Amino acid sequence: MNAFIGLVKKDLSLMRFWYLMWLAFTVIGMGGGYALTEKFDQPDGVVPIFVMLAGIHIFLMPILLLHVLRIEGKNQMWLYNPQSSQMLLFSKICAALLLQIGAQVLLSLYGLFVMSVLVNNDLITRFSEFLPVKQGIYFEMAILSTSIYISMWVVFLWTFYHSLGKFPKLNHFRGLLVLLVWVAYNLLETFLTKIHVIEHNLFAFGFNLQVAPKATYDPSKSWRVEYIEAALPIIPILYYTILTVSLFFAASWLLEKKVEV
Amino acid sequence: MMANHFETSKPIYLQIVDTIFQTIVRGEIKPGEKLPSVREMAIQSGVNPNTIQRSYAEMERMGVVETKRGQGTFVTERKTIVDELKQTMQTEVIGQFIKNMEELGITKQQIIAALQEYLKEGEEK
Amino acid sequence: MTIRFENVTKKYGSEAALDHVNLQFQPGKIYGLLGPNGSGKSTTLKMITGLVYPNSGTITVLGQQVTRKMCHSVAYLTELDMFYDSFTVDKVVAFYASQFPDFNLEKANELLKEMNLSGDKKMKQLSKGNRGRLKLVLILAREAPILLFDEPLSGLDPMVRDSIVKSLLTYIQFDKQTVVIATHEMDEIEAILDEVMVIYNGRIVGNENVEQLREQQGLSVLEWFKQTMEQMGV
Repeated sequence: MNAFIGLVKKDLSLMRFWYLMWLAFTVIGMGGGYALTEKFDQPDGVVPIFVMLAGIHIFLMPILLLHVLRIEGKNQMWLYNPQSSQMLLFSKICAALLLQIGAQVLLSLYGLFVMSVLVNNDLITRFSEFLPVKQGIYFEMAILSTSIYISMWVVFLWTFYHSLGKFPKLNHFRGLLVLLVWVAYNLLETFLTKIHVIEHNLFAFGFNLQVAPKATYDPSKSWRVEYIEAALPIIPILYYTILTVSLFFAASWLLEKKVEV
Repeated sequence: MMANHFETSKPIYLQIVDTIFQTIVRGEIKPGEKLPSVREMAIQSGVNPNTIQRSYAEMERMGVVETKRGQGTFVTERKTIVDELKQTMQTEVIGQFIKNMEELGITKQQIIAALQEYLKEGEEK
Repeated sequence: MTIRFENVTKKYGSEAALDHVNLQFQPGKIYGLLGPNGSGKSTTLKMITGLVYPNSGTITVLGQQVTRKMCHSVAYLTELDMFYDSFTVDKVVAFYASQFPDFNLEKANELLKEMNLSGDKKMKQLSKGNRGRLKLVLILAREAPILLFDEPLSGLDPMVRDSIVKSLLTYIQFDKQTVVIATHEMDEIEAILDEVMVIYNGRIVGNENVEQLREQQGLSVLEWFKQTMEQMGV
């Protein structure tokens, strides 16, 4: 067996239990939500349930990663391994990504179901004849990429936390320092976007997509979902991609040089 | 049978030599017969193979065993050497016994008498 | 020289786990690293494996300065509980086989059989003795030039200890592998050691050849260890 595949298999089995729990609760949420809308004769209720479920899926991958990292962090014996630290982390990210994609496929199926409910109840004003495939994909991509971005922060902050492990005096403040790094970064980010030049050029480049779902609630007619024009901003996307990759390499470096067993 | 039975005052490799000599003298391993390999002996006695190697070298130096290339270590074919060995070990034991008795202040006559008495009792039992 | 410590210091905060240590290990020998708990034995082994780094000084293993990838050539048995509860014996073995190129799967299976470990047992079902045995399988199945054992007998009953010593003698390749055994229990292990070192408070306070101890000082390892510790005022 190839070393990387061996690692991914190990990480998948460490994530399995919580992943199955997650899926079970998601299915219960889906089924239960639908049952409630049926009971109260509010077929449009499936929309907020779908949005809420989609929203919490942003946190699936970060939670799975934090879970395996916590297991490994108990004694850090996972570092007794001749593979590079990049590969050790990458395998966890791949495993979590695979499971995230699986969960989002389930979510998309539910999305189809939601569409059919809406169509059957004449609640959709547009796209009533075909499926919004493109919009669906962009929506899922948005969830996935946000999830990956948060995951990388989790991985980085976790390695940072454990890099501090060899300073016993800092032991009680490690959590605080991690929080400090996170807050400091966010302050910096806010500060940067306030700078005049950046503020004005941040959304300068972009391409238009007809993707943004606009859901409005009109008490007389209930939910209305429309897709409106939205610009996909290039600069922020590029920025977050670079940041995500940098966080990964920073985490790998810390793991290689500073985390001890 | 593990290692904690070794005496502290004597190197382990010599204690291993003594043990092997006893089995040869008792005839459990006959002249010309093969000894266990170093590794087997190490496992049996719970001792580092380097130590066993040293024991075998010592026995070879004394002429009691011979190493045949690629075949292993064998007890010498020459019966006289085995007999001599028996004689030497016997003398050693007696020497030690006499020394101990003399340390207790027992005379030679008393030793002989005590020994005869002891052996006789042993037979009667 | 297989392993060389030059002036190595390792500090945890202000406390020194190793204090200017100079050490050398020669190929093809079995070393006993003795000392009370917390004396620096574990830190020494972890440093050879590349799991802990020195604050100052250099450690060279097989001619290279140690990095985290050193475990490619160093097999290490930890005293820590290293297993994932949900894994079966077979899964653990397969994982190690996939990670270490020198892992001999055939030898591992042979060892499992010999130690009566069934492959479908989960880690949480294994007794302490069987966990110890499994750790031993994982290290002995590796054909690495250096084998390090951290307290391989600790907390195990005499039967298990004897069987572990027996497996060490059976499966270590004495002519090719350098072995270091860190322990504070000497009874079973004494006769398989070539050299012994005593470490106390992060310093090497004794270093002897086992047979010379007996020949020249008439001392067993245990007696010598006690004597050395008494000289340290313990």
